[in-house]
Amino acid sequence: MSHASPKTVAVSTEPGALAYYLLEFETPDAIRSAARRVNEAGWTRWDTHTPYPIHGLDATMGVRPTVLPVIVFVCGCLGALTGLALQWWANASDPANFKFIPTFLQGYHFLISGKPYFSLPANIPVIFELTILFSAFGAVFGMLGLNFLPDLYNALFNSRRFARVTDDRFFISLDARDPRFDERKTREFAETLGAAVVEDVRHSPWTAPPQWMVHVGVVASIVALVPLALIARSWTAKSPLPRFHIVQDMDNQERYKAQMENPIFADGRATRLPAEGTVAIGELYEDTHYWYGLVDGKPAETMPERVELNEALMERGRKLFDINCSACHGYDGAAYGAIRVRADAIGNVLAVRSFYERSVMEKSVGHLFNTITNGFQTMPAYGHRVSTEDRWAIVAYVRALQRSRSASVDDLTTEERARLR
Amino acid sequence: MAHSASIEASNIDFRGHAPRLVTAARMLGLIGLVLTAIVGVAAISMGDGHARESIWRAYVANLCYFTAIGLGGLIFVLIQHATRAGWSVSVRRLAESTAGALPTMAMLAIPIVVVMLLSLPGIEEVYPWLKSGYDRSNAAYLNKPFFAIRMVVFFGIWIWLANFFVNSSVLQDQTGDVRLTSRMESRCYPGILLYALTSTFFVIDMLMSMNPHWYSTIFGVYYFSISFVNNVSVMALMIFFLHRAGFMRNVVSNEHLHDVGKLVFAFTVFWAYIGFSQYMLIWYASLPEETFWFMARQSGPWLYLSILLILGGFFIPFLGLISRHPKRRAAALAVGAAWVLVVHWFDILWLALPRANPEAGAVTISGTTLVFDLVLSLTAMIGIGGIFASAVLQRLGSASLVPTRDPRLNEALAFHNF
Repeated sequence: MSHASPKTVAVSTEPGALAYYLLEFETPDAIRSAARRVNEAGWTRWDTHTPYPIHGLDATMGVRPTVLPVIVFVCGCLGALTGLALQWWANASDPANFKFIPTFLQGYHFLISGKPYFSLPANIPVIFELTILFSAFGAVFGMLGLNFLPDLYNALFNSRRFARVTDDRFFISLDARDPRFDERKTREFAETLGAAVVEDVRHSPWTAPPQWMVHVGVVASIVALVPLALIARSWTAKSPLPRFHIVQDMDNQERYKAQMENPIFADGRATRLPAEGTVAIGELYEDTHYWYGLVDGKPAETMPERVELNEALMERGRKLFDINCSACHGYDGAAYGAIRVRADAIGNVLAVRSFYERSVMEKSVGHLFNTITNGFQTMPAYGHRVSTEDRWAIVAYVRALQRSRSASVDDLTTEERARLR
Repeated sequence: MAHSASIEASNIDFRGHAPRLVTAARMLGLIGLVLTAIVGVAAISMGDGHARESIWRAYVANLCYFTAIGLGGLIFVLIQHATRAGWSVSVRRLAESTAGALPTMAMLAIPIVVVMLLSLPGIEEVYPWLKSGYDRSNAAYLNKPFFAIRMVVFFGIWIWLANFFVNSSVLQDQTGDVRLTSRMESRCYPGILLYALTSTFFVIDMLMSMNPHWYSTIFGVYYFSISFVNNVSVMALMIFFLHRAGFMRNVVSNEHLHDVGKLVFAFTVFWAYIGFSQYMLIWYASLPEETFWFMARQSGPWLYLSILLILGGFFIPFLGLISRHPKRRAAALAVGAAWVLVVHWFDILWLALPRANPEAGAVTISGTTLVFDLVLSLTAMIGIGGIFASAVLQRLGSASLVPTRDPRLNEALAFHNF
């Protein structure tokens, strides 16, 4: 129930000067009628103090509606705009247009989930949060500001009687700074208001803090600047040392890392070599036919025994061919895949071999396997991304494609030949 | 007591006025239903292939809309008991009257269940899971008998809850028994739980199952937000009209109006919050099996409706009701409340009318179908709304407008906003 007015009147705040007349009432009804009279008398700097809210007392006092809602609304709008601008700046502004701004303050294009850099739905949660945050700041700090808080000294607390305001007494304080205040007339007015007691509240004398406290304060203030100065210095200073590692967790441990020196062992290496002839699980590549497509060091002419030719394998081969190979070689292997077609269209040269060229037709399966595994000229290697079994499936499928273009009458059964006639 | 005197001075007996209004509303409702039938038959005979579907969609939409108001009344009453609220005693009977219309809404839900059980033409287009060849992966839940059973359970629970709370409150007018209040307070908690489950599954069944493979876990909350804001808006309108006719003047002060207005304001924001939460997750994940539902509402004529919802459902009421002044003036609040009710009627149409297809996204409909959709929705609104209004008015006229012997009535009369 602050009732302050911006108008200031030069009033002594010297120790012992009159600060307030404090009127004590015993019932809410008594304070209500007194408050009405103070308001009617045109007072602006005065207040009521009650142990609990009394409905309607604001109206009786003539307190105008607070402007706080407007402050909160404006702060909320500012928060919304800040949220929007912040996200635009951080993610959607083009740094090239803002070269005059230091790099560490510039925005940075960051693609999230394939959304546009500036996309409203993604921004709304942040806008929402900042609206709330700014509104809350506006409400709290606006309230404090409008009430002139924090207020470290108020003469009212010099009155012992006033302590009962949180218990069972009702008070009106008439401020000496009010333009209507007059030591004698106001006293007379106050006495007509039906108060149980009218008390003079005087300013207390200013007592300086003890000398030792001042010294300690000065020293403490200076010491408090030291860490800040150190931080400021290391911010700009150059150093060959690594950054401070404040939280260690288990980052730096006393142990040997790979490739370090270790005097314990004869060879001086921390890393130990596996015992002679060790083979890791799953890394025995003895069957060169299967793993490398080589028989006695030459490309294999036949499929390895471990690969069983059947419909499932061919189907797997077709699927993987369509995924990995068709982009260049085409679905039919005639070397007109989408990339090749596009390269031709824009005048680039992309050398893709058709499977139906004689030279390719004559290659052994081991050779084809090796080409798929390690690549050839512009063709990249697929050994690391298609498993061995699957590469053989592709080989089988490529062979089937080639076979489909070179069938002769002899390949048909008698029945089929009969149908052709 | 001064407060009792103000009740005496206030006219809280609506009994003499109700019957005339009830008859008028009921006539209006019947006219609306007959009009719906006439327009429906006209649309079918004009050869509009979607006409039958349009009729069912319009009916279901309005059924959900007015049931939402009744459910809002029920949850309002439950919350007041749960929080042992003092201020709301003077307006609680208004919410009790909308909750009291739920039995009537149960009667109006019967046609949909019957249409479904008889597989009348068009209903399969509204609820594709009724089709015999439809993917049966969720048939354990979405099937005719279980749907019918659920509707009986939902409305049964609501009628039971509404009857208990309304009848206890009315009984207290005669006996003044404080134990009735205690009993209502102890039963409201399981009641809120039952309400949350039934309301959620009701709208899942009625509206979300129109796209059986589309799901949004927040759909039930969205419907709850609509039902709450609709109910408090109806309460604000009731206060306006009752005040104008000279009722409840001293019982419902600007302070109560202010609180009702705060609830209207708060729940338009809540509605926007829920609606946006639903949208943002689907937009961000961008999964085709979810986005098609919004695609259908972002294309063709529905795009304009979507924009209208954003502006009219959030921005306009937000800016219009944010200040305390319109909330404390019955006429201004009534305008806001009416606006909110209209927007949320379109909101329910937005949920129920657009045809969406998981494969194709938006399903384009002809202009005639759209016109019939809207006209049928309007006539069905008059029909179902009229009957709903008659039920509410009948409740209003069956007891005093204020729970006269509620132990917290004095607290409500002395209520003052800070």
